[in-house]
Amino acid sequence: MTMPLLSILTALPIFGALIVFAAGRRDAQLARRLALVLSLVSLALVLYLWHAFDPAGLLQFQERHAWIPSFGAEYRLGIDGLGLLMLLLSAIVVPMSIAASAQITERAHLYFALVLLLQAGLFGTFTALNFFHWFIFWELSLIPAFFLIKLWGGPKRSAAATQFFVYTMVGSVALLLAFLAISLSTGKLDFLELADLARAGQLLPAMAGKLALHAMTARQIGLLIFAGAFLGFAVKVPLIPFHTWLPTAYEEAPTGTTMLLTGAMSKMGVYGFLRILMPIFAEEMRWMRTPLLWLAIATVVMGASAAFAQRDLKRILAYSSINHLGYCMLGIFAAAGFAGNDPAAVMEKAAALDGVFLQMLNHGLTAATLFWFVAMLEKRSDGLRGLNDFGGLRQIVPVMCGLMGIALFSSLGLPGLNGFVGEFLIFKGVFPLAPWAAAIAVLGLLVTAIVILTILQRVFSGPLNPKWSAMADLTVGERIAVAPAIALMFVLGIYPQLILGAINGTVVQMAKYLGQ
Amino acid sequence: MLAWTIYISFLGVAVQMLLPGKAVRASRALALLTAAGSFAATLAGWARHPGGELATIVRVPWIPSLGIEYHLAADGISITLLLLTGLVAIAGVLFSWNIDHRTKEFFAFYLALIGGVYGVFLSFDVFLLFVFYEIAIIPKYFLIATWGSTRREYGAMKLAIYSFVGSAMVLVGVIAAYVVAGAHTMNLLELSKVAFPVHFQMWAFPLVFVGFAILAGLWPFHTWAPTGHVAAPTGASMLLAGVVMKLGAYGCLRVAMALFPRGMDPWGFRVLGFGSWRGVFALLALIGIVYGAMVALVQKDFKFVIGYSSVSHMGFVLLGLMTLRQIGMAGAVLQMFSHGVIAGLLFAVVGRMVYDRTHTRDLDELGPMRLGKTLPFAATVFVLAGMASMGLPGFSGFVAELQVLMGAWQAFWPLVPCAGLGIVVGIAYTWRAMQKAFFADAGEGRAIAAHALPPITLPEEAGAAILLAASIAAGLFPQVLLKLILPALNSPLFDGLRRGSWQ
Amino acid sequence: MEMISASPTAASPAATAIENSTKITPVKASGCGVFLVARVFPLMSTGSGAGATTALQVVTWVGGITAVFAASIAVAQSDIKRILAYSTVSQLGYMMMGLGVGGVSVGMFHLITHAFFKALLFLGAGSVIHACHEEQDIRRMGGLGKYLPITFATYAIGMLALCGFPLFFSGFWSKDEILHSAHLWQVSQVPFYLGIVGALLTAFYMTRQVCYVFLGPERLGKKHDAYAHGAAPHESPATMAVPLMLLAACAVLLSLIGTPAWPWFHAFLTGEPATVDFARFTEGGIVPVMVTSSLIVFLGLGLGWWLYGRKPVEDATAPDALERMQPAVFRVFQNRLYVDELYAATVIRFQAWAARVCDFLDRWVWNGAVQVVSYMVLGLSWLSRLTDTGVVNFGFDKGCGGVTLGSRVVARLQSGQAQSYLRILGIAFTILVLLLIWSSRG
Repeated sequence: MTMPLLSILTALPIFGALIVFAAGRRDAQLARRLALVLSLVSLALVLYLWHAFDPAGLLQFQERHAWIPSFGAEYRLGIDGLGLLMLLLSAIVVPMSIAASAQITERAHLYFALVLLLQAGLFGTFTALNFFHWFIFWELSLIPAFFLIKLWGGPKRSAAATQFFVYTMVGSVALLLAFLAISLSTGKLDFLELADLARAGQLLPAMAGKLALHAMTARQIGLLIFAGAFLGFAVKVPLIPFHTWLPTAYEEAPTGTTMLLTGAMSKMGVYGFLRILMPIFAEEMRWMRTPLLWLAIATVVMGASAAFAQRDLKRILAYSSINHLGYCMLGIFAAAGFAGNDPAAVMEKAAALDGVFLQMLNHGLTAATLFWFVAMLEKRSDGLRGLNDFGGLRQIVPVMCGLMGIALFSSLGLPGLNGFVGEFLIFKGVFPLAPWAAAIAVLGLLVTAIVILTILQRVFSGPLNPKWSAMADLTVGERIAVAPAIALMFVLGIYPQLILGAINGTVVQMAKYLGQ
Repeated sequence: MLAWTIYISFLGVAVQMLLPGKAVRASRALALLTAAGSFAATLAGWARHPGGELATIVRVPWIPSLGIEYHLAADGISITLLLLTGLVAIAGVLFSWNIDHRTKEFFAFYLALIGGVYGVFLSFDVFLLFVFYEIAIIPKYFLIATWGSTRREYGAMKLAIYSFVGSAMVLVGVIAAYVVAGAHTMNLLELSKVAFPVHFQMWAFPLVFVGFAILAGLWPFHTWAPTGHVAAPTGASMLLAGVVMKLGAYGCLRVAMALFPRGMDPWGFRVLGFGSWRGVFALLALIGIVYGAMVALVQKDFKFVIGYSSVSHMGFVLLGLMTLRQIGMAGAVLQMFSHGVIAGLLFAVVGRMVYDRTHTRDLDELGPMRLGKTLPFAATVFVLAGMASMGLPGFSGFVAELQVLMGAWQAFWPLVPCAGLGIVVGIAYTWRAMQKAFFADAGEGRAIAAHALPPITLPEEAGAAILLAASIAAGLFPQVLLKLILPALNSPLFDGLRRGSWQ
Repeated sequence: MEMISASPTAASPAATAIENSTKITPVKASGCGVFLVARVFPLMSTGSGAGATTALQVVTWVGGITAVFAASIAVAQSDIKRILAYSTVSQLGYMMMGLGVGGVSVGMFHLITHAFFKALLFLGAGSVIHACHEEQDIRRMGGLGKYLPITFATYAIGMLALCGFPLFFSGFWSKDEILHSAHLWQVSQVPFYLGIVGALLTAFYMTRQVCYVFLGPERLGKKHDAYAHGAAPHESPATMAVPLMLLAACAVLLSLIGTPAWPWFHAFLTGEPATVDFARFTEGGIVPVMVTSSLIVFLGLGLGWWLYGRKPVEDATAPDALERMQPAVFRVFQNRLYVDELYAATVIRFQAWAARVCDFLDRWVWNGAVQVVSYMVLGLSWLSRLTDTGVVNFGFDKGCGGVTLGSRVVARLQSGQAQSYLRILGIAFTILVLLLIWSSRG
């Protein structure tokens, strides 16, 4: 008897949202606790999946039902190492976000219901294997995010939420149009089947044949469709220059929501590149290799540099997020950009992809934790979070500064903490493939280090700002809540094998496919 | 069985007129019963013909000397639209529950309109179709002129004139066809088999098509729609935007395209880059999509936003029809269903839930009322309806637009990115209206004298639930409707269309 | 390097000796860099049997230059810990050089010995600072030898180990291995000479430091806190003294595992068995190198004594002996060769500029593009709306107006007045008759 575990996993937060909405109407604390419990149940289920996962890495826990045969839509679920990793990340970040949202008291039942709906959206996106099925969750996850920003956000929340929503939608529409063209050409919407077609070299001829795009060569058609799909994901990651929605959205969102946005939602874009774009459009990515690498480099370097120019802690971390995901894109574009099926090339690509996977998980964890600390800081400073508002906090709140320092160092990529492993593997893989790109991207590492150390210096060190001499350190509850995240940073930093063991099979498979 | 939809409606009209004027409650109950009864008849008929193939219901000679019959038949497309009419009718009655001024006449006109619409969808004789079509126009005028709001006389008159002009064009074309065919019959199937001369079709087609398409909101003959729908009372707007506009599109498909398929062939020469009527109408449809959306973006009146959104969505229907691909046309029919439900929802929220309580539709004035907090049900319904209107997956609009676009990719691919632009602007105007009306920030908008807002009543909740359920069901399980539509598109009626590059 | 030099001067909140001992951290932290190079040594040395790959050459040169560079800065510093900090950097340079010319065990051995005697020196410095009540400037110390005997003795041992005083001190053996390997290096002899110069400077500045701190007159001044309550500067408690002595013991005893006679450390790293064989001293020019380095050490010690030990400064504000001789050169070294300033003027300024540029791009260019697009859409929308109301609607309304006008005109015919009807009848009748006549004619 095989239970449809993935469907259950996705449905669970939806029911949870209804329960929280109904039961938590009067009591904000109850709503929050219920939501927390439900998200932990999801986490338990994901951990069970992890345990039951076969590390050989092929598709598991599959479910497949016909849905709309006339254009190839199916209800198809399944996970491999990548999907499992993303499920784990989502399952970890959501409870963190809920725990960090203790100061939401107005319409808390709606807030936490929306958070759980967003979690369902994430689970659905990461498990779906058919475009129709996948697109539903991709789009629908925007709605809770929008309302979370719009209803509980900062002073400029309307503009931020609207720009976030409309901008992402523009990308999604482009993606939709591209996939409609694909469905038309091949009659399929299944990611895996399309990838097989692409690998066999049959995708382009099909598109050229079926679409009425006269006066365009097959290659141009392929690039046009690729451009549409690329835009959809480039906006979501985001890649510079499609990123302008992000800093304002992260800044204005309530900090618990920002944790979700940076921890899990931004990974949807990278996931899209790995699951959809890379397998299906591998040829186009090879053709566009240099411009794509330049985009990744720009994201890395300019993201970090822009972070340096910011004065609001959340904005700094927002730009830093852009920078960290830029490394993922660097790894992906380098791995996808080069043909080559020999074992050495496969190993390099596998290293880069291993790094990308790990970076997704680690950045999600670290960034969410950092924003959590910012939230705790805001709570104690009546909402202030400017870089220059503080000073010498280490003397007054040593525990908070110590733990936040660990998270900051992880973000910096200090060896021994989780942030290092992903970046290291990415560079290890990219250097042999595209040394120039890796060399320029190293600048990003340098600038990030400067940014993080500046934060440490201005906020923690230096003379104590007398305004904060009465600041309270972390309560026992807060320490217990944050402890797992910090512990995980050490564990993953010292023993990344924990994760690599599960994902390596998938990674090697992906790398092999890229060579063909 | 399906013919009972018409008879029940008109029976309901008759009984309404017999009721005393003061019996408001009885009037409402009767109307609801009638609408539900018709819907039940539709469901029964569907159960009997699940395959969507053409099935004659009634065929009785009417005016034998002219070859006109009372011929009712239904195929999958008809059943789909009957389902739509039933749902919107029931919901419309529920949302008109608060009409207490001349209630029985309101519902009498309402049911007459529904009956006429049912008739159009079931007619298989062109003349009969025309008769029912005209029958449907009269109640429209009165519903708007008597129970409407903003500029109702102007709106009603405009709507009526446009409709009549359209039907006049149709009449001319149809009579000409009758004469040229010389077959002494008005039967759709027979006429569709007649091979009209090509040059005849070349002028008959645009004439009849435009005649019907005026009612479908083809640009630039669309301005009656926003004005008329805004002026109409809620129940009527729902029906007008939801169903009556589909009459036009239905006529385009059933009459214009089935009878004069060669009218869409290439002319052999190019004028302004167009080579056929098909290209012209496809472009006009696209303009409708983008233009309608853009104008909706800058409206100050909440209801006008919805009115123009109807123009935009109907553009998808017409575009789908012009693709001449099975998938595009199936998408067009599905969009008819989808938009009917969604428009019903949107007008219901704007008109009944908001305007009847706040007495203002100005978006700036609605902002300070914080409707998101004071009318949370209305806000939620509007958000969901907005999502459906934007074409978000999980709702019916997505599947419909998806198929239309797929057809368009094959047929006229440069139009697809433009349609994509229309979708994006659609997202923008929906979101703008939603934000300004329900979720405005403090300090935004112009505060006017506030007063207590009565709570949402049960009929409203029921109506909203019905329509939302329909949209979501169609969005998640479109197969249910596609099983009706696709075989219908394959029926002999459209043989002429299929001779082309149909796929 | 800058991080290490900056850390000793960071404000330390608690004034305990143990706290001061945490200054070992920069030593440990920087050692990691050497450890890293040692760890990836196989990577760096592949491709060339003689150990002269490009990677290793770079490592050697960088190490050698660092050794001299940092040592020259240390000569002119006046903060007790800063001298030790730059000394550490200099020794790290040696370690790198050792890795480059001699391989893993050469560099690592110096790392190990250095760890011990540097820790010893820092701990001792901490003890001194504590005794002087947080005074760190060596110009204000002096004559502390008689108050802090244990500190002085152990510090001297550490200092001699660092200088590489022959035979009894581990530093001698480890540094000598490096110099010996450098001497045998086939690529160039320059690193060897850099090592020699560095050793000279090391001996010199350490002597200078010891003279300033422990010998000579007491410049602390009777009014200083250290003399508060009538007490003189006192030795540290056992918690400090014992570790000092232990470390001093190690600084000496570690020599045993690294001499050519019994290269136990080398064997430990490579896995070969280690044998005791004094004959190894005669191989490959070991003895000449030992002699040379010893002479250099003595020279450095002597120079230091001559400048600082014979005539120590009396007053804290008096200029340094070197400064008197060569003020300009001394100032350059004192300002740490202006490296910090160079960074600030170049890298930091560039970084700040780049950040401003990116922020500008973000606000005005990327965001600007988005705003332009949205304004364009809005503009088009307004245009469409204008068209709708102004053209289409307007046109329709005017058309209707025209029809209405026309109707009114025609309606006037229905005036209800019998006369006008009769008039029209008459006209029409006439026309009809005319027509009839005309058609029958033709």
